[in-house]
Amino acid sequence: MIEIVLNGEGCTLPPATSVASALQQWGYRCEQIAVAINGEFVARGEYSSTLLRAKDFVDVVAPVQGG
Amino acid sequence: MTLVEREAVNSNDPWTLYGESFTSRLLIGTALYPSPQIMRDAIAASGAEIVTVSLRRQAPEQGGGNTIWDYIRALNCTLLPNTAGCRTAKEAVTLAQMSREIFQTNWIKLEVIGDDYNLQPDPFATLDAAEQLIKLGFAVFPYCTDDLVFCLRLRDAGCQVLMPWGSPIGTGRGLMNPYALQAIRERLPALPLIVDAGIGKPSHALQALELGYDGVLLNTAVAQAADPVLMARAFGEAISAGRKSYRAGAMLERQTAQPSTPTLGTPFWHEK
Repeated sequence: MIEIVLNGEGCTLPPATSVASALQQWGYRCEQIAVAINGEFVARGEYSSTLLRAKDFVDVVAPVQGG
Repeated sequence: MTLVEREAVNSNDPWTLYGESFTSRLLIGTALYPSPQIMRDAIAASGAEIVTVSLRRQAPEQGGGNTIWDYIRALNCTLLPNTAGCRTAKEAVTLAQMSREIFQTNWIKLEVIGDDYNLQPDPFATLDAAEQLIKLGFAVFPYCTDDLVFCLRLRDAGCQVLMPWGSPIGTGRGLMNPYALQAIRERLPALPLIVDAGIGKPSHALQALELGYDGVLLNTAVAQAADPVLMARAFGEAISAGRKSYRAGAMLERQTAQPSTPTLGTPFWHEK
């Protein structure tokens, strides 16, 4: 297993897990999310081909109200 | 031209932001309302056609959906996503890219904050981010201070609208430096200018429009009013009045009093 940080919280994943697979395991089900890894944007079309590595910082965001 | 025709001409006063035409000159935020229903009703009452939205971390158990987003979508307004909370150009560029994917718009309200005390925009990081975002094809709406040179540099970078602050975010103190705002207006006569932040009352918004600003962006002043729906309506009317006042051209101020009523023929007047 590898350790990564999801939205500031530590968690573990099997090695060579793709972003698409990780999102599914974590329970994200809606289209209305966006992802960054280590501060870099990852486009939706790259979820399947992007593999998570140990110590990656993953941010998953969704729409909220704003000013 | 009849009075009715003249009124129709005066009412038809659209403005354009990045090639899109709008009638309302109020851009309004979607945060801080007492409830989603009040948000919806207030925004409808304001007449605003553009609303600001944002992105925040989403816990897995939320699944990527939330009720407030459903309410915002139902408003059927043009979305202006922001980069609120970003402290560096890199953060802002990444968040803008995430926003573009989710909200399906290349519009971005660029906010890069330089200081926590007054949430003042960082001019250097904002300019850096603006340059990067424009290269990436974004239509950048930069939140900036009323510093003229900062505004000129943002214009030079390719920003087709500027949004200087009236006063710090959430303070409701109105236009702290009308002189500086006016200087920007005079130096950039053709660029759409929006006062963003610090507006507390409709009279502040009206003042911005009378200075020649094209629009106003606000949130707290409506959302935190005792009656947000009524306040939203008041803002809509004040902005409309301010714009009409600007177009009508105010009289010149005078140092001394001058009677309105003709003095010729004043009764009971005798030279002593």
